[in-house]
Amino acid sequence: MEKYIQPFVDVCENVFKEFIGSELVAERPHFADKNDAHDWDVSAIIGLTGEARGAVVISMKQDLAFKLTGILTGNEHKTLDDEVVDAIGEIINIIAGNAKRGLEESFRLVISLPTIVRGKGHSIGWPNEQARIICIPFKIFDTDTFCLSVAIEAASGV
Amino acid sequence: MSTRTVLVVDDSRIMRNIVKNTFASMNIPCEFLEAGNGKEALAQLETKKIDLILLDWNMPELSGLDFLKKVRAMDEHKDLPIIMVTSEAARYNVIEALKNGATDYIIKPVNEKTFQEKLSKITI
Amino acid sequence: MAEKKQNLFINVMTSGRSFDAADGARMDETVRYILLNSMIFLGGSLLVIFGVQSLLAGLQVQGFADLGFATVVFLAFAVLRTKAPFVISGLMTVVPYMFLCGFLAQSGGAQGSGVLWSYSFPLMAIFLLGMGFGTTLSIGLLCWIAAVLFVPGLAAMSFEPDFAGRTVGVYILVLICTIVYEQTKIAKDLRVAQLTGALKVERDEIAVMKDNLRDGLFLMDRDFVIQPQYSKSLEGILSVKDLSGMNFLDLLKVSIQQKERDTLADYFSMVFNKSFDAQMLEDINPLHELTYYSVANGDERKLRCHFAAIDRAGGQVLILGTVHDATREAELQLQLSEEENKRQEEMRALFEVIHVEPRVLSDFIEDTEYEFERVNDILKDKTRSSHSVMVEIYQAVHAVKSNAVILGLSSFSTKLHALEQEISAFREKMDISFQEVLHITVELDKIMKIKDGFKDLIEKIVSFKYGEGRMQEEYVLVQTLEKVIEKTSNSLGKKARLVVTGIDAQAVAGASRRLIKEVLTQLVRNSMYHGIEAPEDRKLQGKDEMGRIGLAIEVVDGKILVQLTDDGAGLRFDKIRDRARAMHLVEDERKLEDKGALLQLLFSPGFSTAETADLHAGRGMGLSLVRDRVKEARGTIKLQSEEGKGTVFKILIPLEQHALSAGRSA
Repeated sequence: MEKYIQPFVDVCENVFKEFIGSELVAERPHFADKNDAHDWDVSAIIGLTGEARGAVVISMKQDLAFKLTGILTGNEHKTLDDEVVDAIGEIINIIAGNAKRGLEESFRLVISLPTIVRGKGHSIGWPNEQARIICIPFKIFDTDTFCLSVAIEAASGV
Repeated sequence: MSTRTVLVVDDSRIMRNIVKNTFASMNIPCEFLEAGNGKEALAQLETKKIDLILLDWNMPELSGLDFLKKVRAMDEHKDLPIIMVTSEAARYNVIEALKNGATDYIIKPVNEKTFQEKLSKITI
Repeated sequence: MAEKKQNLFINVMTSGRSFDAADGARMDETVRYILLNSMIFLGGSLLVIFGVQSLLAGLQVQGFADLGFATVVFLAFAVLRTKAPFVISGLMTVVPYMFLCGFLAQSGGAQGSGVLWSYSFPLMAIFLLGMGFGTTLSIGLLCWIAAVLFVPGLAAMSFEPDFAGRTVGVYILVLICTIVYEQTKIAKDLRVAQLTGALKVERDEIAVMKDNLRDGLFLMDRDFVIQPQYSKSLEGILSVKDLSGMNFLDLLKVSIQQKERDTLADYFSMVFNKSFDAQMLEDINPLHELTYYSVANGDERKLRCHFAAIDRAGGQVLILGTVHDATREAELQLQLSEEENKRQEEMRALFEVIHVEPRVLSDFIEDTEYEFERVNDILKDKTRSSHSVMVEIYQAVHAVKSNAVILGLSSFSTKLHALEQEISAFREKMDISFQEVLHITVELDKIMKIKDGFKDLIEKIVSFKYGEGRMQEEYVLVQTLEKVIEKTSNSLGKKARLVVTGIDAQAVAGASRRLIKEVLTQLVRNSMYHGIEAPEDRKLQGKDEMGRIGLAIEVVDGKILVQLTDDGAGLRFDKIRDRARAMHLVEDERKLEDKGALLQLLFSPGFSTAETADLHAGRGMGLSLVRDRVKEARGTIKLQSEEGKGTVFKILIPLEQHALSAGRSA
């Protein structure tokens, strides 16, 4: 599983540095239960199929989303409107695109187009049955955090 | 079929017995001579007329390979059938033996079938 | 300088055509060029001489005719050097030559020898111009000569009829011989062309087969030199190009030691000499299976080689070598055996698990989950250093491993041991990278997946055992709590039992089940640790040595009421006060008098009145956890206590809360 996760981590770090101009600090991973309630406001889900099945989800609170949108569009936002979703979507697309190249070449994986869900308490459709997900928190702009959650299992057993 | 004299050269008494027993179970009339190493084997060779030698490889005093070389160097024993009996299945070692004049080889553990095959190839 | 002169000479004579002695067909053509050029020079020179002679002798017409012809002949030389068809230059030369011969015949010469020149004409004409033109012109000249010799007055001198007859007769003979020779040559050439054609087709067929063979096929001689004709794929298999002329043993330099290569040479000798039968030779073939490394670029392959002696015409013996690339097959074989091993391991693990009593296994699972949750909490705790995290994870893994070992789950414990070793290495480091932590996290996930597998197995076994589709929830809950009591009883040396007054099934079904189980588990633990006293103490107080923990769950007014009571020591407010003071939780001393406030403190994280934090309780997280859970479920928790008598926890949770159960931030 690690071999799939590390590229995503690297890609996130690169994309944020190049695109947003901000350094990311990867913090200690921990586990979460997919059925648990969470307090993220917006999540982007990238599905994986092929020799492994699962999803990678990037979740953040709206304040961070506003900040990122601000950097990209120059506009200030107070609500999670379509422009914010688009901006976040843009970032995620780039991440998925970059990860795609590395992962699809090295492994027999297919990476799907990301979908974005928003709203407090939104539910995330994880494709696997297993409840446990690994969360990797990333610190950005010194005070904000977003989370890269991963649940992947090899199609024929890890 | 006349009785043949077979010299069994092996430093393990158990192994020698196994060889003898295998022969016995094949109902081939044989007279067995034994030697625990190359030197003893040479001694036997000098005194008796031997029809076939079953030769082990790893032995003290004079190794199987050295014994083989010495025997083949002697004119009167140039054509004496010598079958190498070895646990060394490595092909390179077998080739080495054959190059130095072994007539054939058997890989331990010995069984009747293999023995029969190999013996049939030799005309005594 | 001499070479230059020679080359110039050759160039002139061949009209610049290439002079390749090896190519038969072209040689023929080149010879024609040489012949024509010779003729040009000879004939041309003669014509010039005669022309000049005639002019000097006053015979203008003749002189100019001769010189005219000479010019044409020399023109032919120039034309020959161009790409114009050979026949043009040929005609330009042969026709004047014909006139020359005719003239010489007619002019007689010494003793009538002029006609002798004509004998050369059929040969030249037919060879240079081919059957058609050649024969025609020759016959033309024949007529002229006949006329000149037989008809009196035409020639410059008179000829005897016998002489004429013989001359013409021999000329006809020469002509016929030339025709016959040329025909034979043509037929022979045709035949050769046919044969060559057939050979080419055969060779092409063989080449196609050879080049499309997947296996490498080659021949080598006694010096182990690879012969020119080998299958194309051999280059690919050995990753070396242009193998012709290479020594086969040299190609194996990187793959086999010198000593073994020497033995290999001995083997090949045996093959050459056919010292043993084919079966035996195959049995001792050292290259039967070989891990090959290319001398050119180090490519690695698994090869299977076979050698056989081939007798060639002329007594030469060669070895035909076949090289088969078995790399893919070897990989597949490896894959298969790996998968086979995996299956076997899984079977083994399964057997181990089946041998453990379900209840005991259930215990184990719960403990493992507990450890995991603990570890996860630590992972989430940002105040912890990576190093201290590793230490804690190590302890947790170690604990689970010990249990696994006791239960005889050797497959599982082996994996845990491996993980333990990995973590141990990290423990030593002060600086642990993100990748390393991620790696451990992933490994933990793998372990938990195995645990999940056990859980599934348990469920199946137990439901089979009890013959029901699903285990009754209440039963599971009670079992769990009883186990908690059992365990803590043992480790604390206390005695207690669970008394269930009633459980409403509706309350325990659905989403609330987990919450209730978590909360009750924590509270029961707490009871055992802080509530129920040691048996001696209880005896002194006149209580039953066996503590009593009561549980009741009912549904009241659309709410689930969970009551957990114990007949233990109740809350020790002085202890709480001391603790609060020690932890500097309150500035205002007066607050410490208020029991209500103290109760609040009890629920704050980090608060614990146990002397030492140990594995199962006393970490100080328990009650705050409970409160958070209950709060998230939009419930309330109340606590009543009487010192010396016991404690009651009352929890109210609204029924029908599906989405939010035991929530945790992701």
